[in-house]
Amino acid sequence: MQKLKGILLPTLSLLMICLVCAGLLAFTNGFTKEYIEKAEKEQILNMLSSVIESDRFSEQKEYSTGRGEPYPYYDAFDKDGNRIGRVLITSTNGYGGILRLVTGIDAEGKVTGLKILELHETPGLGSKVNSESFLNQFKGISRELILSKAGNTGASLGQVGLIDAISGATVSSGAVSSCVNTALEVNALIEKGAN
Amino acid sequence: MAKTKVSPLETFSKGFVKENPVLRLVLGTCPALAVSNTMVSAIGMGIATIMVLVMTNTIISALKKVIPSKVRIPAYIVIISTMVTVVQMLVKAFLPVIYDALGVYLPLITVNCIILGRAESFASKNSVALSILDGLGMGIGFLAALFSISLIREFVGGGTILSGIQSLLPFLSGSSFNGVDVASAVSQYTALEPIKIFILPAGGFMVFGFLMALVNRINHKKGKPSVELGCGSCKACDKEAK
Amino acid sequence: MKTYIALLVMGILTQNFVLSRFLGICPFLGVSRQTNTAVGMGLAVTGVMTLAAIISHPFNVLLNNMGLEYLQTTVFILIIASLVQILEVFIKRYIKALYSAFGIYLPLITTNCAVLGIVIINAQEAYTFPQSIVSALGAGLGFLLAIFMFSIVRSKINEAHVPPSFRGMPITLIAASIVSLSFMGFTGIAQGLGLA
Repeated sequence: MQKLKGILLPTLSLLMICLVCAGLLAFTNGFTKEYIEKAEKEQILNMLSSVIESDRFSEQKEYSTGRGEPYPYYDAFDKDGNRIGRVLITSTNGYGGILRLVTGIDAEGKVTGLKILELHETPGLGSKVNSESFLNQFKGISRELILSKAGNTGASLGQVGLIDAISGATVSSGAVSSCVNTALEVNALIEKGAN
Repeated sequence: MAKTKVSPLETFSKGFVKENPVLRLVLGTCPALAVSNTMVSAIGMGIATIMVLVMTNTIISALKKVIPSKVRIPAYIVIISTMVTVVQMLVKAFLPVIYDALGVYLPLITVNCIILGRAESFASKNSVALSILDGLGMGIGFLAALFSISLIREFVGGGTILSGIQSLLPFLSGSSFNGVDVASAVSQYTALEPIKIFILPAGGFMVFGFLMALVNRINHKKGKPSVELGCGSCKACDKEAK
Repeated sequence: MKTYIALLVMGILTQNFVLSRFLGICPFLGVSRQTNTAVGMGLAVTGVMTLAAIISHPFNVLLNNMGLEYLQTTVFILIIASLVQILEVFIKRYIKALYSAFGIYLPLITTNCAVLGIVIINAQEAYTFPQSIVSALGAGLGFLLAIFMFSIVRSKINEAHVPPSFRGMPITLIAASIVSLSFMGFTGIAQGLGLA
């Protein structure tokens, strides 16, 4: 009987502690839940607004091509409710890992802006794709992108569709271009499906 | 064990230098290396750790007569992980960018040797007031160590100081201050560029190693022995014959 | 969708658990002095990580289904602590040979960033059951590789002349930084091999 008491008391007190802790966690969860949701919504809004100017965005939708993962996207509207564009999230394999990109495309199918969400490229080299000078090249493009390695041709001469890769970071540059190409393709598919 | 009464002030301040958890006791090395690539995430981690440390020390000290010795360690683990989860939720709600920056290391505060170590060696044997002071002192020492490492890493490796501070102090988001970018300012005058390796994991090991050598130097001058891997109560240390 | 080979390559080479992710530093620095103990520790950690991943996955699914994600950390650490306890008793009793080889490392593994780390990472990345196992295996093997290589480096350091301030911890850390740097060379491997 003594032995049982020796096991029972510690087990009970441990159980009590577990219950109290679980209760505390449930309480904190309930308290912080709405703040967390609000913060998440704000983060998404910031992300979307950084690539396209819009008054309102739809909820996250998904477009499935039947192959692979579906593509998440958001419709963008002006204050009258007209659809002025779309924001797509695409990803591909970069040099050091997954590269995830947010692309804003207007109603005419032209790129309005880019934002890199996830980057695992070589710091100082491939990571340079996350610079304004590189990303701004994509603005205004509406057709398939071709990567140029020659340096002084293409985008720097204002030819839409040709992208200057960053020297020494061909793979990373190609990954970004590939993401944007996919975004343009999917956007076109969504448009076709909507009509 | 000496029965001398340790003053509250000493309990509090020993965590800064004399028994600095990271640089003297070599505890909590995982987060020290992992999140010290930017100052903002280092400070965030430090503050989160202080919160957990103070809360767990308080609770464990308050319950020291109630928790049976047999289930002591599991009880501590439950309490610590609960506090860590609470802090996790608070950070996620109010400082979401910091939450993303800290990633998996925030819940890993649970197994930070410092917390279990202090609980076992101090909080379970001392009053609540002293335990709070001990927790605060150790936590601030931890923060100070992280701050130093990240200051070096971020400044030398990226040329910035406190980059992204707005995610830590949201009230700053009205202003345009988001850290000082020394590199861009300097780049107009010199060809000096940041040494990128410092932001990489390799740089983390290196800065930590050099800081430890510095601490050893100071120790030797005072006639004290070199730093060795700590965490006696953590049991995660060298058990081989030295 | 990460293929299993990609997960292994990631854990061992491109995102080596110790050298890139700083998980498992304590045992890495503490037990890497001699090669045989280092390998023993590495194998023990790999085993515990894989077992922990296997056991924690159904619990994780259960918690998610019940909407109790916030209990994750607590449940995981309790699973790990219990697992190690049970393992120690079991191995001590029934596989004595194994115990004499690895037994002493088991308590070291409980409050270890590496084991809790891989379990949390598996949960955060929402890996499927087979993916979780492979991810844990990759992480553990990465740890093993790192600690093995490092023990050899350390034995060389022992024969070198090291300034007094640097002896012990500091030179170990600096050596670790160079090993970590060398692993950076693996970065493009997954892409180069055409893995998903």
